Amino acid sequence: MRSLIRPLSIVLALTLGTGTAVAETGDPLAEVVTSPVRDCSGGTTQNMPLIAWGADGVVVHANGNSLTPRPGLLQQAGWELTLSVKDAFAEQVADYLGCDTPFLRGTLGMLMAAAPVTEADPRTEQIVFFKHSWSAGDGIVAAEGIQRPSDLAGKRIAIQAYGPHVDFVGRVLADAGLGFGDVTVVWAEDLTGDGDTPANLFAEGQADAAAVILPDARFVTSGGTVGTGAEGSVKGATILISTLEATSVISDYIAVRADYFDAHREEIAQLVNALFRAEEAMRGFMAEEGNPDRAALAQLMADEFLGGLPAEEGVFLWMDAITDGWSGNARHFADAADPRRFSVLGQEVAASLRGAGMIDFPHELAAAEWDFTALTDGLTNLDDRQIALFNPEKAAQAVNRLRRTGQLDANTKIDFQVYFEPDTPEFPADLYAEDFATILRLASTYSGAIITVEGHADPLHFLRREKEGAAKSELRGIRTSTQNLSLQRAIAVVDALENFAGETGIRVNRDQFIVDGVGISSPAYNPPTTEAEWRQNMRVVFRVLTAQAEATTFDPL
Amino acid sequence: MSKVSNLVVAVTGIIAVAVYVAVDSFSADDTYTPTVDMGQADWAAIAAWPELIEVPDVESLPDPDRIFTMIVLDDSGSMGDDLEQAKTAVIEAVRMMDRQDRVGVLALNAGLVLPIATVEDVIPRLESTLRPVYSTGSTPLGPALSAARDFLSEEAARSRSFGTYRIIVTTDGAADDPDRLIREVIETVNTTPIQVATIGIGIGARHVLNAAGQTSYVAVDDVGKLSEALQAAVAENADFSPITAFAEGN
Repeated sequence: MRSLIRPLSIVLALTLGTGTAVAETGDPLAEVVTSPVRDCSGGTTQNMPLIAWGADGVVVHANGNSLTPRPGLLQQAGWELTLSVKDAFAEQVADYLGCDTPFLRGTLGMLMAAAPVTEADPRTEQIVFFKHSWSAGDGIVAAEGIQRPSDLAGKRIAIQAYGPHVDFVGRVLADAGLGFGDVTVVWAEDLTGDGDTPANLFAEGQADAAAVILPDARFVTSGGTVGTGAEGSVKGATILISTLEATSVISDYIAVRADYFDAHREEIAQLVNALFRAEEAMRGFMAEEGNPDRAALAQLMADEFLGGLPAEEGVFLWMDAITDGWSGNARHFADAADPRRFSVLGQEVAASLRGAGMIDFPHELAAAEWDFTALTDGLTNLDDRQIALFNPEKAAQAVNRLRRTGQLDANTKIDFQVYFEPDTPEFPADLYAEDFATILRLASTYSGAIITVEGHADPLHFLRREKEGAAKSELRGIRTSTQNLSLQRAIAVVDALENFAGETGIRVNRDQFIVDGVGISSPAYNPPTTEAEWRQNMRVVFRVLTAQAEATTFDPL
Repeated sequence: MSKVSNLVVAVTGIIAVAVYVAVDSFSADDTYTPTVDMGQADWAAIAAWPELIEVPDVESLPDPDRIFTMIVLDDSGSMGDDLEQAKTAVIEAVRMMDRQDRVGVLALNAGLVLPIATVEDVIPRLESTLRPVYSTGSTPLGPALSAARDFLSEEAARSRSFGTYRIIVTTDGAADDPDRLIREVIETVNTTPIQVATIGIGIGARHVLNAAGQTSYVAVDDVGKLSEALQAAVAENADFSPITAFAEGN
């Protein structure tokens, strides 16, 4: 049963043009934004909304390192843009309908939440024309005792309404076998700050978990460890999962009204090319400590996006975003083999928002459908990028340490029943296409997470020989053989998975998978009493490691 | 290994030594008795081997078929001319190994004459490395077994304990400290997955390094049988047949 807590004290009263809407936080946007639609076909001197997100620095850089029009890549492309930070998404939507700006800036979850409003009029249908980034800067914090996503069942989760985390929470719940119907959502008005935010609701005990930006997550968990209860942290709180692991879940875009797009398609293509060039430049200088451009832009973002925080916070904000640039956009919008492509993500997000009661039916947002080969002017690097790099040796070491210290179980786990032949790692891989597809989807969704592939062997032979009084040396030999067999099985499954990915054109990062084998130390049935149980002991288990090993193994680009 | 496990192993070892010494004292000859209580395998300790050692180059994809071998070469004074036969046996044993396996040689008195490396790297220099090893000095077999175990522990930490681990002792069996040798054998076979095998030179059937069911043994003039003696065990039966007694809690 779904229960959405709507604090009466939090009431939105929006006066929008001639219409006034009174609604509660968490109501569908269609009930909140009721302003009229105006035609929109003006020129290339426009307002453009930004949100307080590192990737939005790309637009600022393209605009001459300024919120107001200055000489830069955008002016060269014929654009005079006045930028402003608009974190209140309902206001953005109202501006969009009224053509104060033809642009809408948000995560896919935010854009989808606006769909019932924007798609109701052909003029305001969204054309999603640029993907900024994936997020590596959001997370879900949880109270003591909540160790894995499945523990959220029956709990209260604070989420900002219309914000970037609704679909993130939906994705995490779905992969834990849950839905919004299994939790109670506590809607918050703001994302961060001193007001009605998920972090504050969590700290005040009004929620058992909260979807927050990572700076807030670190604050309530005493620096990303376990909250001590001191200095504003919440005693016992931990980061349950973050977009450092679920790297391909929260995506940021710019959309434009259909009527404006139809009138300015070529100009918008030039705008996109300018943003690609700005991203390429910014990615370069933001990686160079001491670079004056980095210092200037970090200061600007700290001032304009974060309300005057020190410049280093601007750097951190940039690092929380994994920008896409040309290659990421080309892949996301135009590569049918990309498991996290726009259309796939759209379906996922729509399902999440429906579950949260924010939309009534799934909308399909349109993409600009660029010919990306025509948008390469001025770019020097068109190489495909991996979202995350792993150090396999460090990852293996981390997995080893987690296993030895008994911490490996507190993660997303998928039992993959493989019918191995006894005493061999052989199995009919062609029967497992559906399972492989599921695992590849998880791998691409949690592209920053290590996935362990853990082989198992059946203990019956060992137990039988032990019962028959076999010598110690024989039993030790059997144990060693089962240990090695279990690793061979894990390797065989990853090999087959890689082959499947190759045959189906799906990208897979082999380094993300760490093979492991536990021999006969944790059989599903001990001893097996039927042939079916015996077979089921010969298995492989996939575990998506969350919030544990990333510090030493994950290197977002 | 936990403190409790350590204690269990220690107590087991002390009892075993006491039993061994008591029985041994009644032996009619100088050879060790095979009736020594070697204690029970501590499966938890074996699964936890090696202890969590931080090594910089942990393998992400260890080879489960690889065999790691530390050869302990007895170069004590008692070996005399037999040392040359022992060296030949070592060379023959290494040549029987797979090229990707790893092997090292530790001499009782000359020390670590060959650090662990791939068989492929070791073979070309094995003869020349062993040539200057002479028969001289004492027979610290127990400490050598302990050191060999430590070398293998480091290898296991890198390979996450996958693969097969062996200590092959080439000796005439006359240890300086027989009790220490027994303790080290017991610790090795009860708390680690390391196989202990002996290439024996005149060792009787009642020596702890020739204890059936605990260690493997071949005579120095029969090294060809070493592979057979150390053959990998079957992991799982080919067919299922239940053991109902387990279900009844036996």
